[in-house]
Amino acid sequence: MDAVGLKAIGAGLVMIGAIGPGIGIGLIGLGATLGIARNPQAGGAIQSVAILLSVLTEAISIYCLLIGLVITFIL
Amino acid sequence: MSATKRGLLVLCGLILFGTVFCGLFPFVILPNLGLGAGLPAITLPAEVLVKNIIPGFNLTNGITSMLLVDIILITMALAVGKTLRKQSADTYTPKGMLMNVIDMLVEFWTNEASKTLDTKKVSLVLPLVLTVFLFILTANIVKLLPGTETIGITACAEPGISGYPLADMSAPIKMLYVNGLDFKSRAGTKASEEDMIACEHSYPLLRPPSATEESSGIAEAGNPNLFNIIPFFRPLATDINMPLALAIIVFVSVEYWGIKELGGTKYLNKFINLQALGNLRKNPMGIMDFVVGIFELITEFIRIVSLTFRLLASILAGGILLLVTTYLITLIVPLVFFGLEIAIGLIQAYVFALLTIIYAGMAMGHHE
Repeated sequence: MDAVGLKAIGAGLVMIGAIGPGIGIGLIGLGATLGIARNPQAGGAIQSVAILLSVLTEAISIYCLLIGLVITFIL
Repeated sequence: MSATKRGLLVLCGLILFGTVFCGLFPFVILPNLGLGAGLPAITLPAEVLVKNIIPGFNLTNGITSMLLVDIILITMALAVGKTLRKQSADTYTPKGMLMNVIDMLVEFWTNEASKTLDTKKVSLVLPLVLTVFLFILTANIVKLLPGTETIGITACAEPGISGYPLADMSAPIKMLYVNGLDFKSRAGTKASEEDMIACEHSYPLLRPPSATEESSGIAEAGNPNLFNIIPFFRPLATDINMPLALAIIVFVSVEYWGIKELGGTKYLNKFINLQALGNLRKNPMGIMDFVVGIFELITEFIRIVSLTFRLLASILAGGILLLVTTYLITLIVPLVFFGLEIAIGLIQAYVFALLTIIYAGMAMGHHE
């Protein structure tokens, strides 16, 4: 139960938070493909919206990674 | 030969490839040729290069990276300005690669901003948007140039960080000796407190700049001292000060534009909705407007946090990924991750600038 071991367990557990953005980006992909399938002319607009929203959602999983890095290298 | 047999052959080939390139190559073959890759020392705060260059102020490698990016951007801006002053505005056509690229960027961002703002507000917002975009893009491209995290000054390895002995103590340009299988040389072992004290005792000039002046302790005889490299340059967006500064500048600018456009009391009413509180007798559901206003106020401040950490963590994770894959398979394979890094750097710059446009539009928009 020393500090290094507990820190390692903590840093490993923190990445469970990446489940959320994974599902989120999948849902964005679902919406984008269904939208383009219904209306291929709006493909360009849907694509730019989808890329922007994917980057915003992915930022949440990167917050989890940042906490993992902070636990490993700073604490 | 049937498909299953071919598949079996491919599988054996993959296992062989993995063993040779991930196992033997970086740990046995290359170090014996003198070409090993050392485990990176990953730190979140920028490492100090020169302590107290002006009294009370340390020169860190974040500052040297920022000066490099600044020199590149200012040179580009001066060159563009000189070319533009020679031509009149009506007959302007871009000539040459630099002018064409700048023209393309300005046109792209003008179109992006025109989707959400009208033309007067576009010319107000566009300088900050382009500055942010070019600054982050240049910083992310400079991080991929060779020598960014590998050339630096030698310092005694601090406790907990892997240290390597020097290949040749007296050479002016020192290289670390990275053969992990040569156990007597202790290459790659994590330095402990005694190692750092012994190294500082023997080589006081190579003390890491963050160490204190007094170093007491015994010098261990016989064990080679462990050193590590403090890089001269570092990916600029991994130093937390740069994304934080950009996020605070964007926040202050957005608030300023909102107040200038709507007037101070009307802008404040967006967040602390006094009219909804006053109309409670007539419209009891107005309490929801008030609560939503408080949440919007909190959101304004959380934007600083999210902008900072999105940029910081993406670039930091990418940098660590590059360093670790270079450690695992030193040749060829990290090229794939370099491509990913270029894409991520471009996308993060694009998202930061686009969010600036969106926040400015939201702050300047009139509530219907």
